[in-house]
Amino acid sequence: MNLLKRSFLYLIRKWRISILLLFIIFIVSTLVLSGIAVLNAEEQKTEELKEATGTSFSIERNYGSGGMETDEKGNTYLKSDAITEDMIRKIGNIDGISGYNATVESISCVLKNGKYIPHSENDLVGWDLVDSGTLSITNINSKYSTYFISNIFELVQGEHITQDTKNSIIVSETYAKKNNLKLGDTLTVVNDPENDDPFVDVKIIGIFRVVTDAIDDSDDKKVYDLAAYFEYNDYIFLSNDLSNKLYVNYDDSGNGQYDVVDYYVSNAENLDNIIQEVKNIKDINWKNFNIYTDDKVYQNTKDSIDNSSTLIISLIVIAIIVSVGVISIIVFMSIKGRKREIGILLSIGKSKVVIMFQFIIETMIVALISFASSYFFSKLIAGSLGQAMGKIAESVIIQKEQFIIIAGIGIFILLTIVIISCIPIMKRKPKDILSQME
Amino acid sequence: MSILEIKNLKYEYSRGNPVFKNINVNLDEGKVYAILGYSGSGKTTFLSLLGGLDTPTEGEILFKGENIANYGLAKHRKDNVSFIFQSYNLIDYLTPMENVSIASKLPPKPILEKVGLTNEEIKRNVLKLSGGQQQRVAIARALASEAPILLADEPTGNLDEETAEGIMSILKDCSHKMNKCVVIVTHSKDLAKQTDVVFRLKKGELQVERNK
Amino acid sequence: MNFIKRAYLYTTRKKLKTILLFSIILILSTLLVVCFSINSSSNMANANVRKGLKCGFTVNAKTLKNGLNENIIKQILNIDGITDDYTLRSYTIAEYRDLNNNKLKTKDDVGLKVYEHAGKVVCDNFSEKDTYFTEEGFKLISGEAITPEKKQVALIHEEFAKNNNLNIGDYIVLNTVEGKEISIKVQIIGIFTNTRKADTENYTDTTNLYQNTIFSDLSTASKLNYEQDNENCQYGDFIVEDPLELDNIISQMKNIEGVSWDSCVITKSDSNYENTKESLEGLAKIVSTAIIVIFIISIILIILILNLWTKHRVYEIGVFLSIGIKKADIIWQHITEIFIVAIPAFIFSFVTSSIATKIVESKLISSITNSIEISVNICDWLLVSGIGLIIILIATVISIYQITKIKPRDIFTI
Repeated sequence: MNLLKRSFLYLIRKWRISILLLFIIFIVSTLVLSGIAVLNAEEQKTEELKEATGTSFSIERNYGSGGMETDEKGNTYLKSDAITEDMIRKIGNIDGISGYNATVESISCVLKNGKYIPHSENDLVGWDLVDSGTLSITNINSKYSTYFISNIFELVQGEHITQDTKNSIIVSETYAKKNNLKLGDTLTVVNDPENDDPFVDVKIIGIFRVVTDAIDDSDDKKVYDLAAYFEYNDYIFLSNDLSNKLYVNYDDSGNGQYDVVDYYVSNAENLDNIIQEVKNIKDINWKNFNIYTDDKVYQNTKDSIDNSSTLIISLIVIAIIVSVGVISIIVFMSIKGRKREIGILLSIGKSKVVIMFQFIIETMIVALISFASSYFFSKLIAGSLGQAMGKIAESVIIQKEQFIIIAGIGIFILLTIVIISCIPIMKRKPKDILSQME
Repeated sequence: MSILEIKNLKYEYSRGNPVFKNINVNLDEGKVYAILGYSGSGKTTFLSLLGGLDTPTEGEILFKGENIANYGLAKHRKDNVSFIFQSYNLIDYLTPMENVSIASKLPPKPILEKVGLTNEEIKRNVLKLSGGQQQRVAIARALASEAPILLADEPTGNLDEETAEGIMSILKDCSHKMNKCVVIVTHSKDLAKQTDVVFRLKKGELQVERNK
Repeated sequence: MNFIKRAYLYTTRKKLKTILLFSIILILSTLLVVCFSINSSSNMANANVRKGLKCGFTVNAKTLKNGLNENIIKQILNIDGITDDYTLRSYTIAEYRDLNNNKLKTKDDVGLKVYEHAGKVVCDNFSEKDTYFTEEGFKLISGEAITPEKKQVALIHEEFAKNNNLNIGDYIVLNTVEGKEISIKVQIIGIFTNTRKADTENYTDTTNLYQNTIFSDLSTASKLNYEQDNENCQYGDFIVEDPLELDNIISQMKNIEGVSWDSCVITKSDSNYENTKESLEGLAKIVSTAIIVIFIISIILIILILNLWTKHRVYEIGVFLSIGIKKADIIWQHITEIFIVAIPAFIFSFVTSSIATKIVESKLISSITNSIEISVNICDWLLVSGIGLIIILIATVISIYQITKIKPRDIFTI
């Protein structure tokens, strides 16, 4: 009878022990695989968290270079180079940048069906151009507008403006309610009708809500900029193409020129590298632009995030080590319990190596079945773990390659354990084994 | 030439504490030998040495003129000797058929029938057989290996008189009809009476008590 | 021979088995204790992340007659969970004069003129924490920043200094522009500049121009705003340890007497927390889920192992049954045995888990700059040991009971 058959017979006849061992290995390997899945999820969550710190940098036109010029109407203009759309795109294409936005702010009037519609404030002066004035902000990606990033506004209907959005507008809920507007309605926007500026038709693609409590308009810390003169409810977000259509009569606003671009970085750790890469872009004269970074929140939380992440890794690593330890003890125990059999096999002239091979084959058969079933089971577990952990279900997945590696390591460990467990028996003289078992 | 020649055999558990020393004896095929002795006299140890389960402190054991240490102990156990134990030592997860076939490629059924097991018994769980039946399986396993030497350690120690008688006659048949060398370690004088040669292990020496 | 003696003999004679069982219980209980320690450390790390988000609230007490007084501020700072990282602010508009009562020159070529020779006076306990410096790109180019112990001092814009030929150490006079005329002499201790341009120079009041802005301290503000010789202020910005406690802390603050909180505007600043909330909760959930899974698996493991353990003793149990020892007595023997092994294992697990957590701390965590401490909590340890003992007890009783249900005769043929 060859050893393969003997192994099979052992596993089948001693089915209680086999099933127990199978179950234990199955549970441990499920634990390990779920652990790996958790690590995958952890990695993604940590990355998300780092991204959520809103680490960003902005490129600003350098006001110091180039000086100012005054036109015939008495308006002053900056002479230094403005940021171009080409430059914005080039920087935005750098790996690790999750999103960016550039805006042009102006005061624009809004019309519906050819009539000026009033803004949300109640103290109207009765002059259409003032009463329908809004703070108009053109956006490349409105999702990355500071107002949305810092949770002052929240998009409640429709969608955000992206690079591909054309002739679109996002208005506030209050503004929409006051003027009876809904998604899909067409409005007309004009910058300054008294300056012969063009009227452009736009479609409402989104409605935002001002998140209350987030702001105190009466706080004197407010720095007086254009935005400060308008109620948040009277902000309108316009798609970027409109800056070229609305501001044709002005040299420095829109028309593919920007003063500031904000870039958001997906992994704050890479901020320095990304900035370096930005600075390496040829054909940008950095004398004309300044880079400001904002990773304050990341710096404040970095160590704690790392601590938290390392703790999770430690947890899983410890669980895996312990599992291996427990499996070792069990295999060791089960081989020790088979001393009698070893003695008999030795007495009929089976060599120690053959006996060891039998144990190895048995263990391998059990292990392979356990691994295979734990692969499918841990997929189930990972699925429910993922659900338990919220939106990250997709990330709690074990890759096939990972499974193969884990199974390989598992088999190697079991092999080592079987061999080590056999050593005390192998070192003994057959006679001692026989006399001990009686 | 004797099949087993034991020369100057000495064995000690620890240094200067010999169990026996200077044993010289030749064992032949076709004979049944009994080794008598009190508990602790070293009977089982002697048997282990013959079967290659242990190595002597001094001296050598020759199988057909070749030192078994040179031949290889595992190979010696596999090819030349078969053991029969007092506690049968059957593998509990194998049937009688399978227990026999782990030792040999010969078809196990005729051998099992030869030692007196029925067709039904040879497929039963070994632990559900009686002691006599289990010992028959153990003998069948020993025979299946076709080794010329059978080493039995108290083979009837756990059995009633009648059953023991049956086992002894099988062992005698093995020796006389199949021309095997059978060595039985026992403390039973009744059993020893039925053998061809009786040795006594006493104070570390092997004395011939009776030679037919 | 009673069961206790038998149990004692089994555990001492079968040393290897005892040691193995001891090790398994020790390893698993250590694992669980370490898991719980990691859980509390990880909660702490999460709390630190939340702390690092620097969420807080602003009290706008501009409408109160005398603002927020020092006593109120002290009471707010005494609320549990409020950090020492706070700023107090007041604002006013003042006319700038020299010591000879001559009006100083301010920038007035752009913007809307409401008050001449005047500007916005921003008063802080820490000027460096002011939004002008932290967000609007102001930079101190010489002198010192304003700190709480400085009184009747000012920081002026580079351009204003140049136009009026003012230097550090010089004095100027700030004069109210509305209501009762109050004036105060302040010493210039620093000069700042702006690194970015304001985009509203053409629309804004001239007093808001960067060049006309002056930073001063709270005592100056109190004098100008309330004509008082204290440090009452209009605004307080407070940061809380844990954004989760923000609402609670605000309501605690509102219980402080002596302030008409309804007239104040309280604004929460927790957008950082709102942004990271989901990921943070996700991480916390990962830890708690992992621990629950490990806990359950450990329990299953120990049950399986104990089952495997007793399987080997069918023979022995059969013998006992055959000689007439009662089932209950046999179960008691096993319970005694398992307790002899398990209790020392649980006790010892306190030591091993302390060592294990120290190893995790020194090998893994210590590479992080502000690393967190992990230590074994006695309550966690007691919990693990208690639950562990109960589970082991139940598992032993069940598996032995299963065996004793078999007829003594059958035991020999299993």
